[in-house]
Amino acid sequence: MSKVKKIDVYYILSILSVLLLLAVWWAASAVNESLASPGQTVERFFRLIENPIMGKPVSVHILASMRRILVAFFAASVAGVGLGVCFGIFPTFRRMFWPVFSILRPVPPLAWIPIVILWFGVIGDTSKYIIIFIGIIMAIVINTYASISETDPLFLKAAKTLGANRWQTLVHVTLPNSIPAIFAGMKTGLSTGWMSVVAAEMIAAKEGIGFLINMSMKTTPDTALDFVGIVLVALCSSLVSFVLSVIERKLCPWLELDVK
Amino acid sequence: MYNEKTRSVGMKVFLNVSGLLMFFGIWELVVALGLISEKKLVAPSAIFMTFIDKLTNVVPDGNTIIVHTLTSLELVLIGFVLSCLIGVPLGLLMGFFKPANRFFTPIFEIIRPIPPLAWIPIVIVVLGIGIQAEAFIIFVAAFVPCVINSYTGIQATSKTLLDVAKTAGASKTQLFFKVGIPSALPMVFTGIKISFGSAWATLVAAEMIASTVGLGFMIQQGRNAVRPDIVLLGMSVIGLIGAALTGLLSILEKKALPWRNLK
Repeated sequence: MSKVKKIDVYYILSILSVLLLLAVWWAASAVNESLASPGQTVERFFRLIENPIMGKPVSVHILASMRRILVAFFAASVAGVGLGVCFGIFPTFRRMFWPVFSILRPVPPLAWIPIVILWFGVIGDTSKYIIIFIGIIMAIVINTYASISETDPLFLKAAKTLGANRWQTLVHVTLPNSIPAIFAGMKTGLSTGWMSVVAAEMIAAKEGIGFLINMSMKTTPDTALDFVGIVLVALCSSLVSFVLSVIERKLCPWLELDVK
Repeated sequence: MYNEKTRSVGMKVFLNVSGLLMFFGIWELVVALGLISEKKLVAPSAIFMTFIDKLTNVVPDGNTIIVHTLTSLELVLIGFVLSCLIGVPLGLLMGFFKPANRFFTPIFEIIRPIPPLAWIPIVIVVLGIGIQAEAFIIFVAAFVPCVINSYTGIQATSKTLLDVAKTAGASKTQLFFKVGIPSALPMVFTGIKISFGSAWATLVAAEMIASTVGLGFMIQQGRNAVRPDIVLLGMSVIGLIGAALTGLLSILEKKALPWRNLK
C-alpha cells in the first residue's frame, strides 16, 4: 500500500458551504432592507469602536458579559460538583434531597428570571449572577452525580482491597474517574449559561453583549448591531469552551492515551 | 461502598418524603411567620389557591391559565416538531455521507453557538411580530440537539454490521436505511428528548417577543404587577408540564425501541 494520503476533495464542499451561507445572508439583506448585510455588519463593528454606545467602548461590553459568566460559572462549578458528589456518596442525603432537586430541575432557567428580579431587584448584578448560576448548575450536578454513581465497581473494590478509606477512594478513584463527565456537564451548562447571560442583559443592564443586542431593537431596528452582538457571543463562548477543553486535557492526560 | 442495601423499603420512602416535607414545610413556615414579605414569596398553599382562581379569573394578564397553557403548548410543539423534521434527517445525512458532512458541518458549527435569544431582533425584522417569530426561536433552540444526536448516533454504527451488509451486497442507500438508521435510533430518540427540553426551556424567551398570551407572558405580567403568586404558579405549571411531557417521551421511547430494554 502506498503511504501517500489521498487529498480529501470534499474539503472544497466545506468552503463552498460557508460561501453559500454568506451569499444567502447577503441576498436576504438585499431583499429586506432592514436586514443588515455581512459588509454592513463589519462596518457597524468599526463604527461601534469609534462611537461607543452609552459612552462605553465595546471592550467594556465584552468584559462585562465575560465577568458575569465567569463568576457565575465558577460558583456553579464549585456548588454543582459539591452537590453532585454529596448525592453520589451519601445515600441518606440523596434519598432526602434528590426529590427536592427533581422538582426544581424541570423549571427552565429563563422561567426563574421574573421571580429572581422580584427578589433581588432589577438593578445591579446580583440577579444576573443568580440567573446565570441557575442556568449553569443543573447540568453539572446531574453529570457529577451520574458519573459518580456509575463508577466501575471493580475500581471501588480494588481501592477497598488496598485499604483506602472513604475519603481516599473519593479523591483518588471516584473523582478523577468522573472528570470527563463533569467537564461535559460544565460545557452543557455553559451553553445554557450564555443564553441566560444574554437574557439577563437584555432585560436590564447598562453594559454587556446582551445589552448591545437589546439596543439593536430600540427605535429603528439596527440588525447590524445585533449581528455584531451575535458574533461577539459566539466568539466569547467558543473561547471559554476552548479554555475549558485545554484544562480538561491537562487534568486527565490519560484520555489522550486511549489508543484504538 | 456507596450503596444502601441494608436499608429497608419503609426507611427509603420515609427519607424521600421527609426531604420534600421539609422543603415545603420550611417554605410554608417562612411565609406564615412573615420572615419574607408577601410581595416577594407566597406559600405553596397560596400558589394552589391562585391556581384555582386562575382557572376562571383573567386578571391581571387577560386570560385564564388554561388559555395560557394551551397557547404555549401549541407554540412549543410547532417549533419542536419542525426542528425534529429537519434536524433528524440532517444529522443522519451528515453522519453517514461524507459530502453531506463536509457541506453542512461548517454551517452548523457557525449557527450552533448563537444563543436562541440573540436571534430575536433579526427574527422580528424578517418574520415580524407573531407566532412565526416565536416558533422560530423555539425551532432554533430545539434544532441543535436533534442534529448532534442523530449525527453521533449514526456515526457510531457498528463497522461489523456495515461490513456484513456490504458483503451481502447492500447498496449505499440500503446501508443507510437498513443498517445506519435503525442502529442510530436510540441516540436519535435521546436527541429528541433533549431537544424537547430545550424547546420548552426557551418558551419564556420566545414569549418575550411582544406576545399577549402564554405562560411566559403570564409570569412577565406577574412580575410587573408584583404578584409573586402568579409568577410562582407560572413556574410550577411550566415545570410540571415539562416534566410530564419528558416522561411521556420516555414511555414512547420504550414502546418504539423494545430492544433497548433487553439488557
